[in-house]
Amino acid sequence: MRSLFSMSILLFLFACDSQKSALTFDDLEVYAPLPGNSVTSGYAKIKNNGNEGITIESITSPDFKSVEIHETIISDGIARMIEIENLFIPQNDAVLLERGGKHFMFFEPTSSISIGQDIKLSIELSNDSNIDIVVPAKSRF
Amino acid sequence: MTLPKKILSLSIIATFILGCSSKSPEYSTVLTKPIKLDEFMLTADDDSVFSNQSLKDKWSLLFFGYTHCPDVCPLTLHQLAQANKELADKLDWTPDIIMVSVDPDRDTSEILQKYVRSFGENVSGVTGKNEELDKLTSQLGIFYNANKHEGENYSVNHSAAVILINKNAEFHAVFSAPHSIEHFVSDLPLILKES
Repeated sequence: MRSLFSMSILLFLFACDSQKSALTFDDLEVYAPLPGNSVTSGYAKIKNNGNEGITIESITSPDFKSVEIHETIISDGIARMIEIENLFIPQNDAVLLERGGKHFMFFEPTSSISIGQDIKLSIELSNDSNIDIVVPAKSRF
Repeated sequence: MTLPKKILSLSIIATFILGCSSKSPEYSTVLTKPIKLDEFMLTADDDSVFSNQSLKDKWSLLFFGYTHCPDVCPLTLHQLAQANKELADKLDWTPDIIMVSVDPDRDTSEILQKYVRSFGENVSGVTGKNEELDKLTSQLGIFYNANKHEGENYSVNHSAAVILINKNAEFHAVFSAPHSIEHFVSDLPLILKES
């Protein structure tokens, strides 16, 4: 019984780990906020190499009060931003976060952020796992 | 080469040269007759008055946005600033870049100045009371609407167009989104040359 229980835990951990590694953040960029500004953006190519779709349910960072995923939509010449509460990345597919499109949106730095400073992100996924990423803040120019 | 062949060759070359020299702006709409702007009174990022007079005797590119916009606004300002850098070699002077903040409740002069200057020295910001902003935006076909129901970090819907104002402070041309550095670099010299 005990060995069966241990194996179940191992399988659970393996399942979580494989799901974690299924999602990669290529070319992740987080811009240091511009002078006098309390918001900034980030971009990446989010790839799901697994065989199941994964949803990003939330993102937190100790370096910002809040982090959201938004999309800029230009329709009839009007730029609008909408929040994407849950970003779904289909199996064996990728979602591109790029300028003028979907992007990470960072609100209110908890302290002044300089270029090159490490930004910590914790990304909560639909499979109850988390991905922790550290990325240096980049200059917009 | 026989004479008819020579004439044909010269005709082809002449057509090519004329075709190149009469190139028209591709990415912007130039108004057939520039529109004189009615009076408006805004505040520049150095707290000086910004009115019709402020636009005279120079060309200006106006973009309507806000500093809490982290994506399309910095992207457009960056494109404009980069285009100006590239045009500096081709033109005697480059247009001023002016971001008109349509979020006057959050964008104070101080915030606006810090923000716009990070894009370059010839980038400035202006804003003002909504009724004064409306005097300008309504003449240029610019729309904006603050989504204050979103709370503290509200977004503002706004036209993404870039407006070119001529030396007489007239609405001269419009670049519609999506923008690129190449669009400005390609069209601005043609527009300025024609005027």
